[in-house]
Amino acid sequence: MTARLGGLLALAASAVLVAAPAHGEDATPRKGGTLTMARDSEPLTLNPIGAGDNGSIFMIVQVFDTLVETADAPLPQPALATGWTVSDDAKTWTFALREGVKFSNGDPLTCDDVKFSIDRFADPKVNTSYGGFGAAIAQTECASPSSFIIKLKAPQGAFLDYLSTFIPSIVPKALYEKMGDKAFSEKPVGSGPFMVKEWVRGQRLVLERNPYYWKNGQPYLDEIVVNYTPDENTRMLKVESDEAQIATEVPYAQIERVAALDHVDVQIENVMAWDAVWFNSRKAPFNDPQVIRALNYATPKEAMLKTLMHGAGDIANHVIARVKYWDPTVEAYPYDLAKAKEALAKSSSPQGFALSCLIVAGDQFELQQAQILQSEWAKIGVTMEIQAVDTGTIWTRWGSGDENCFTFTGAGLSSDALSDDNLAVVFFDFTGGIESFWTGWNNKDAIALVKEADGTIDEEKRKAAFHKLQRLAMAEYPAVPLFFIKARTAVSDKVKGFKTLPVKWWNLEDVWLAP
Amino acid sequence: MSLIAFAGRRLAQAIPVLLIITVAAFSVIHLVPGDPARVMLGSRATDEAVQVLREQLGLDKPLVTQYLDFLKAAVRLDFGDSLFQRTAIGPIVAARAVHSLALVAYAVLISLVIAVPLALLSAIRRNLLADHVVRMLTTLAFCMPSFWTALLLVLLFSIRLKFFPTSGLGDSPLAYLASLTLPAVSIGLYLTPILLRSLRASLIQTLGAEFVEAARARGFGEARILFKHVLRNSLIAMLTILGINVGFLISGAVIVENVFSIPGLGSLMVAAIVQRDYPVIVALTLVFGVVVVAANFLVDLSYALLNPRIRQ
Repeated sequence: MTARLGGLLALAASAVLVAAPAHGEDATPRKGGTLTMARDSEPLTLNPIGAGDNGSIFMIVQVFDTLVETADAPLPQPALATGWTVSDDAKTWTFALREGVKFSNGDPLTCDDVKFSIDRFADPKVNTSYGGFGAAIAQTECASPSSFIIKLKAPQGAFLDYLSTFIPSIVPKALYEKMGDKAFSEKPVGSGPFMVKEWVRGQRLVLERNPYYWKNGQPYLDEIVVNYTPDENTRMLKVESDEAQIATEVPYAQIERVAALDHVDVQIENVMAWDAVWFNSRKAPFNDPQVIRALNYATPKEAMLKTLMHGAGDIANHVIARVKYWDPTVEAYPYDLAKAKEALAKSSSPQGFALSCLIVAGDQFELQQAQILQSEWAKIGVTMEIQAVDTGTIWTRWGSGDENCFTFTGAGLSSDALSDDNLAVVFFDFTGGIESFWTGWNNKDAIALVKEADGTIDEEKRKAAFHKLQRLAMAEYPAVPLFFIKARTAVSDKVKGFKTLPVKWWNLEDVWLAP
Repeated sequence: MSLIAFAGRRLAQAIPVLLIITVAAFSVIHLVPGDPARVMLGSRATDEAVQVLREQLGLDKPLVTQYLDFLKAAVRLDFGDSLFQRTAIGPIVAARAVHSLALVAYAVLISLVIAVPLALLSAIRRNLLADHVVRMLTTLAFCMPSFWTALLLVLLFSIRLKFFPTSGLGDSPLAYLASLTLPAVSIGLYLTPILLRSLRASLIQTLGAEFVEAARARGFGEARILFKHVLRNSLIAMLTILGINVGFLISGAVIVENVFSIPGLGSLMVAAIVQRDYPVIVALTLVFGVVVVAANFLVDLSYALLNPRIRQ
């Protein structure tokens, strides 16, 4: 808890800022009521396979169940599987299926449904956006109605973590085949705590209690109305006027104001999201680690955290998010202009250089952040030109490999899985598909470490590999890591049991409303 | 010429314009540098996925066939599927068009109700106190950025007085109207000064015309002269400006749509551009073109109603 509030202690208003877990956990949950949420994004599809945006994902997890689930714990927890065993070679996993589970239409959930859903997850032709998550699966089998076996091609360290994501959600086979992809995406049926009552694109998604849900007494809420409210001021006004009881993504500048309201608190919670500036190591001088070090030392992270983010974040000591195997003992680069100048003097560009950096247009926070970097880096002779372009363009241009530098909004990058593997493949494994997040960082040791961690389920070995990787990345990777981002949610006093999980979504079956 | 014949001729004149718009909308997808299917799916897409999309969009057929298919489908409002929303575009656009049209119609109504009487007052009392006050207030309203006006309206009427919801759309007709009121006022406050200034200028001009003197000389009452002769003859310039603005507002009310969480066409266009959702951009280009043509047609028609000489 103190760690969560660490960055906030400086704030005079910290007394009204509430950290997770949510208030009122001591009281007995009460059944009934409608929760209204004002969200910054809207779902595009409700099909677990094909979704890739938070707008969709966070709603899909309310409607579906998985074999193992993400809860407020470092490891996936039993859900539709009550337990599991793994063979000595770590290639055969046997799951005991929970008995008596029904889909929200009353049909029983059988092992056939499980096999159908996991096979879709494992098929890269079906699961096109997250093919890597299911790629290790060789074969699946229902040994009995209550025993499901998954055979892997090779041991996979993050196997359970990937099973706990939204993608291998269990769908009803017969109904899915009858409805087809498109119709099912609009009106899905799952065994999760809630079912879809109404979906008006661009406006709202209304969820209602699944009467057949297996968790005893849950969900507590009768209904959840999720309003799509893209404007941040409007979202805050919605909770202020009590038209909504929860509003997501409180703007940094409004944290104190919203937290000071009588009936609203701002919950600030750790999530697996982060912010950094990325460089293209195919281009000089960004292929020189001394140059990257110089830029890191010349970045006043503490001051930026205080002024721009009002303390709601932590200085990053890793190039990727703070995930399961994060090592707190690795040091972040301090702000030290002398060291920055020293590193630059030793580099291939001792006189400094000019660069242009892409940022997301229309985002005031990103612009201010870039302007601070611009003025600070100028002090060591690095002149930066800021190029603000729209989100679509930024990905096209950064993906082309021709740009120098790029930064993306902190809300835009986060981990989908509970362990580091997913991010490690994307950011550190040049052979992983997108050439180390298009930075072109091609480091043999890093690639070997990613593969080493992936190939074993031995927790100690995995931890050791990721710790090594973190030190290596902090020393060599072409990036200036900035902050670990925190979820900032405005929550009304009446709402109990609300908690943002590290994956950024919420298990809304735990939420209830006080009278 | 009868009014119907006039309308028919104007409509016929609109057809070539509409065809040019369809060509422009159709070209959007082909102006994409490189393989459009590849660009749409992004650099991580598999070759099979790109091929499927290419066939789905008919990109492997000759250009003329593609255009004719596009025309046929467009008439049926069939624009294919959105790449991001993964559902048919027609119904999405139709649902949003209703909200956009309702919002703009409401805003136009509000600004006419304010602009016409104030313009009359301002013109009659030209350079007197009332005129100065009206002109100052409208300049002020015009200068306020709409996102700011919108927030002020929400703070006062939704948070403080609780008259209207802060955002979103109501379900029942009355709640729907209530939820559109503040957004319509925000747009209305932007539109009113534009209409008012143009109407005031023409009123002043018309008031000095000889036929007004003649009417006075014949002993007609001031009210009759003002409403039946002066106002009627002065409306045309304002209607032209209104027509242009309606076309612009249907597609351009993005900020107000965002502040009030109204799913309109403007915010859909912005989202589609950011996401590179080309099929949606194509559909909206076409819809906006048709809206502008339709608005101009209605303006032409109103000229003919106000001034029968135009029909000749």
